[in-house]
Amino acid sequence: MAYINRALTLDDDAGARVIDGDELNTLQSTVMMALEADQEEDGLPASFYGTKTVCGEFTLGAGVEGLALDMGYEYWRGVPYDFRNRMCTITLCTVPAANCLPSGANHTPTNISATYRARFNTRAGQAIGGFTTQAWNPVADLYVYADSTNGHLYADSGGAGYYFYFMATFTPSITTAFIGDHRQKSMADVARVDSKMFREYEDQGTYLIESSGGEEAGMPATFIGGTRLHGEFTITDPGGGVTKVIDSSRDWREAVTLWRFDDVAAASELPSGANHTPDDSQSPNWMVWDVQGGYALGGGFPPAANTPTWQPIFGVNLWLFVNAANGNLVAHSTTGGTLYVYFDIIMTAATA
Amino acid sequence: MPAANVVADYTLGTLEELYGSDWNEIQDRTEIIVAATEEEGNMPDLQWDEASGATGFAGGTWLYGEMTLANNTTKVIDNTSGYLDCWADMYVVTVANAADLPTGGNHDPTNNIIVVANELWDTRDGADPAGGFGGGDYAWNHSGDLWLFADDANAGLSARNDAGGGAILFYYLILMTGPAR
Repeated sequence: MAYINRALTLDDDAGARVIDGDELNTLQSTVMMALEADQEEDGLPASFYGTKTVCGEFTLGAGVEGLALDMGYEYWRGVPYDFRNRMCTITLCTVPAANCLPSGANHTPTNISATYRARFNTRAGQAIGGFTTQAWNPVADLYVYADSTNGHLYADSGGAGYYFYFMATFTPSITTAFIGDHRQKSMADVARVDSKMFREYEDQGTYLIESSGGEEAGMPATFIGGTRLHGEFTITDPGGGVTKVIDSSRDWREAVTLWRFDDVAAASELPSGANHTPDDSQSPNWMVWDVQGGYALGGGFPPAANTPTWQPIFGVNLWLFVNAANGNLVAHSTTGGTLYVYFDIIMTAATA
Repeated sequence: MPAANVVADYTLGTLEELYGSDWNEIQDRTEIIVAATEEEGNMPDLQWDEASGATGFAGGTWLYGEMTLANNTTKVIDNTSGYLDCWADMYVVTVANAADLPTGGNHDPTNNIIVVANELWDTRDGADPAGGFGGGDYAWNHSGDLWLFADDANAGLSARNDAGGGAILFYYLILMTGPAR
C-alpha cells in the first residue's frame, strides 16, 4: 500500500532504534488529536480525548437482526472495544445492489442511493431486535446501535434489506473513564518506544495537511496538524443578546474549521441528557470555513455581510465565530430564548 | 500549531529515548482509523495485525485547500501519495468570487456560499478526465459541473470543471483513508 498518512518513514527492518526528537515532533505536529472543548459544560471525564474511526461495507438481509458491524476485537491489545456511551459522528450511504458497494464493480458516486449523517451518544444501547429509541434509524427499516449487553456495534432490519457502507468516529466513553482503549499498544511508563512501533502508529493515525497540488492561495508550510473538539452547551439570551465562550484552550484565529452542528429541543435531549436519542437533532448541519481573524464582539448582531461568522440554523439568531480580541471560540445569541447545542469541530493550525 | 497538540516537546536533532508514558499520551489523544471488524467487502488485511505488520485499510489524511478551476480544465489537488482505492469523505464548498474564498476579504459562510456538498465514496481504480465524465465514472459530481476523482494516469487526487462556463471557485476538506485493497 501507499503509506499516504506517514509523516516520515523509518527503517524498521534494520531493527529497533531510539526515536529522534525531531521525528517525534514531526509526528505530533501533523497528527490530528481529539479533545473535549474546555468550556464544555457537562462534566465529561478527564480521559475524554482521542477517537477511533471505523469504516466498512455490509449487506443486511430483510428482517435480519443483530448483523455485527464491529465486535470490538483489537488483536494488539486483547481487550474488546465497547461502543456504548460514546459520541458517534457517522456518515452512512445506502446503495441499490451489492455490486454498488465500494468493493463492487458498479460502485460510483452516482450509484449511491442516499447519504445519511448523524451525531449522537450511543448511551447504553439496546438489545438485538429491540428497535428502541437508542438505535439510530437513518432510513425506514435500518437501525444502527451499540448492543446493550456486550457493547458490540450492530445493525437490524425492521423489514427491508439494505446494502450500505459507513464511516463512524467514536469518542471515549462520556460516562466512564477509559484510559487508552483505542491505543495500538499500552506501554509501561519507562519502556522504550522503538522505530517499528512508531512507524506502525503512523500508519493508523489521522493527519491534517495542506494539499500539495492545485491549492493556490499560498497558505504557509506550517499549515499542518489539527484538533478535533467535542462538546455541548446551553445558551440563554435573557434579552439583548448573550455571548458564550465555547473553547478558550487555544487561539482559534486563522484556523480552517469543519463544523458538525446539532441542536435539540431540551436539555434532557443533549447527549449527556436522560432523554437523548440518536434522532433528536432538529437541524443537523455542517460547514467548512475559515474563521480568519475573527469578529469583534462590538461589531453588532446580526453581523454585516462578508464577515467571518456562521449562522448554523437558518433563520435563528445564533452566530458562531472567533472573538477577534482574544482568539476564543464563541457563540452569540439574540434569540431571546434558550438553545441546546452539541458539536464536533475539526480545526487546523493557523493558516496565516 | 496549538501548543495543546504537543504532548512532549523533544529536542530537535537529538536521539532521545521516548518514554512509554509520553507514547501512551500521544496514542490516547490521536485519532485513528481502522476497518470495522466484521467488514465484509473483500478488503484484505483490514485489521491491524501487529505480528504480520499488515495495515490494510488503516490510517488517513485530511487535506485542505482552495482552488480556482477554469472551464474544461483539470487540476491536481494532491499528489503526494496515490489515491486509488481509497475511501474519500469529501466536504466541498463553492463560492462565486475569489474574495469569498477562505483567504479572501469577503469570506462569509452564512452569505457567500453557492453549494455545500459532502459524500463518502471509494475512488476505486480512478477515472480518466479525457472526454468528460458520466455516471459510470469513479468521479464525484458535487454541483453539476465540478468533478473530484483520483486520476487513473497518476493516482493524484484531482478536480475537473466541465461546466461550459467560467471558472469555478471552491474550497475543500477531504479525508482520504489508506487504500482499501
